[in-house]
Amino acid sequence: MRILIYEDDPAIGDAITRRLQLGGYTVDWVEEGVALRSAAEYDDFTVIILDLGLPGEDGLTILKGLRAMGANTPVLILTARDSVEDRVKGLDASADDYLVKPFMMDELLARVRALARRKAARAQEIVRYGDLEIEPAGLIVRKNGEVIEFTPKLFNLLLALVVNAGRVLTRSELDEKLYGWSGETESNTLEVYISQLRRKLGADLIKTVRGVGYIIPKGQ
Amino acid sequence: MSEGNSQKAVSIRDILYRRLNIYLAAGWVIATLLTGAAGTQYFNEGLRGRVIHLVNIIMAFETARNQDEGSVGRIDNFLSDQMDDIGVNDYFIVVILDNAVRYSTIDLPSERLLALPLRGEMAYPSSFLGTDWIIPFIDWRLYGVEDPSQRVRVIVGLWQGEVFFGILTITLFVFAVGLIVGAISLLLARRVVAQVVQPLEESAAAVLQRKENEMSPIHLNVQLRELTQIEDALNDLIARLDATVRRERSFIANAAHELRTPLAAVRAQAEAIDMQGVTVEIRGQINGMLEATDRASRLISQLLQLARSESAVASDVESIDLVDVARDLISRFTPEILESEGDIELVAPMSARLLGNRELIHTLLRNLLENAVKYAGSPKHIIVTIDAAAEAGPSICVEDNGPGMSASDFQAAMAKFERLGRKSGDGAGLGLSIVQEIVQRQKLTLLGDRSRELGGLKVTLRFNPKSSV
Repeated sequence: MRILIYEDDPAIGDAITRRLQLGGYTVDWVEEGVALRSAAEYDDFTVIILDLGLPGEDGLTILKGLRAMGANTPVLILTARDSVEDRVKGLDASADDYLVKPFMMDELLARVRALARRKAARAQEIVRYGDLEIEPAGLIVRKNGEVIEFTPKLFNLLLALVVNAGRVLTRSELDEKLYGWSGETESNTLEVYISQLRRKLGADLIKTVRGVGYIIPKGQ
Repeated sequence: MSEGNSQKAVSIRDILYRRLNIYLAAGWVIATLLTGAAGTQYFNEGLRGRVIHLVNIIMAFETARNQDEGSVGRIDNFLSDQMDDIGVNDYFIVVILDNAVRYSTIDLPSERLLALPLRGEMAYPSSFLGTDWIIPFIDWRLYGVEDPSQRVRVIVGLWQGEVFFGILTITLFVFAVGLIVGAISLLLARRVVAQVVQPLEESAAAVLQRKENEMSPIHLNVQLRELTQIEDALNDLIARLDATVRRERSFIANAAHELRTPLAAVRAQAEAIDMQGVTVEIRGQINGMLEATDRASRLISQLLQLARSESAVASDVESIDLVDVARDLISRFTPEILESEGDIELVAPMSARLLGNRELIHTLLRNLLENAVKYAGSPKHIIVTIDAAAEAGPSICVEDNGPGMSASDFQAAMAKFERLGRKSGDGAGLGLSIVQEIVQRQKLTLLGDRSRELGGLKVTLRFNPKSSV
């Protein structure tokens, strides 16, 4: 997996690069907007890590430029700004995730993995989570190499939870994944589906956050 | 401070009332005295002149007397008419001819009448309760003339009481009129004072009602030039304060942001060290560095929240769903809670909307949760309850299974935060003191108690149903 880092602080850029390389990733580190654009244009990256606190060209402008070019690589923003407004701005500029400095390296790695899974799901490639392998194209789920049968609705639900591992998905978000915007939901169907998933994959995988939704831990 | 001042200061209303009362009373007393004095003077003057004139006329008549029997009666009738004209009823006339009383209108023995002097005074005996009283100021004043060649003496006695009581009546009348006019003037003055003072009081109330983060110009809604001058001066001051405060806050915010990048560098470098290749001692030192950067970053984050909450603009309000905000924040803390094998639960209606500033509400809820997550036991159990139906206003309640504290300990801890301000070393206490700060400025209610369900701290934040946050 290839990661593109856009970071002008040598100490941070160097540390992230070394840590990601240690984790088996191929890393390209650029310090200027022009370099970032050309790299993103000609090469295929799994995830782009973008530092917003750059002097000169504003990171959000660069991100918008990338999206305008048609690049749909998941982007993780690193920023010193954490107000609600800044967060909304970042996500509006179609960043996929947002990490506030100073961050924990493990957290960064977990976010990168999550984004990689999201990209895989988008590209209909195999999504891996722990001992699970999910093939969006064939609606196939393997646990320790063994194929487990899933209905399309259950499959979608599992995929949504795995792709968003480490994040709570609210009831309404999950309902939307299951039924789209049709609104044909029944009050307890989600619970029924979740319990079916637990039966097939083990009770510990999906955690309930009562009153909020469900979560699969961010995983390794 | 402002209360102390307003207690010490004298009210304009009181000053105006007191001064007006004194001036009106003084004017009224002086007017009464002057009228009394002038009345006395003119009354006396007029009366004396006429009486002397009268006495001379009687003398003339007596001297050129026609000795027939009817002449005295005619003169009496004539004189009575004259005296009626000048308004004096209490008088007497004595005519003495050849040392004998020829005519008298007063009931006195003739020896006393014959002994009457031509000028002078004679006591006016008043019989009351069986005793003769001599009352000062109201004796008879005598006016007499004598013609020795004809051996005629005419004496007219004028009762001074008439003068005295006449003047008294006039003075009392002036006094009474003054009293009525004074009372009416005072009533009018009260109205005028109220008209002047009311806009002042309304303006003070308008200024008092403002929230601390309200930096927009004040509109006092008055047309009085003196007040619009104060309004302009206040607005000028507010604008300058606003600029200063903004500069300070943006400095804090910028400084905090700037600090985050080098801190991230320290942290990233420390974490990039290959822990397998170093000794246990160095590993411990690296962990110490990481903890220090944690503390520093928490402190920076809280400083930023404080700066932002202080600069939150009061007019920047929107309809916010507490349940949405709580869900979002709970999602963020969930991974940490799950790592401790604990759980977090939200008990809430479908939605709980209120008008408020998104940043402020976010900061409030975030700090309540952060505090609970920090102090919860192991594994962490947290319950968040939102009540939108209460008449006292929507409330959010966060309970944990930490050591907790009683309601009174909570109050004491809050007071301590206030005193210690931002000195807390590890930034741990800052979270609740930020909440406390916002609560005080926004006039919300913050209560702490022991959680019955989880045994730890239960903090309840109640929003004001009538006012936005």
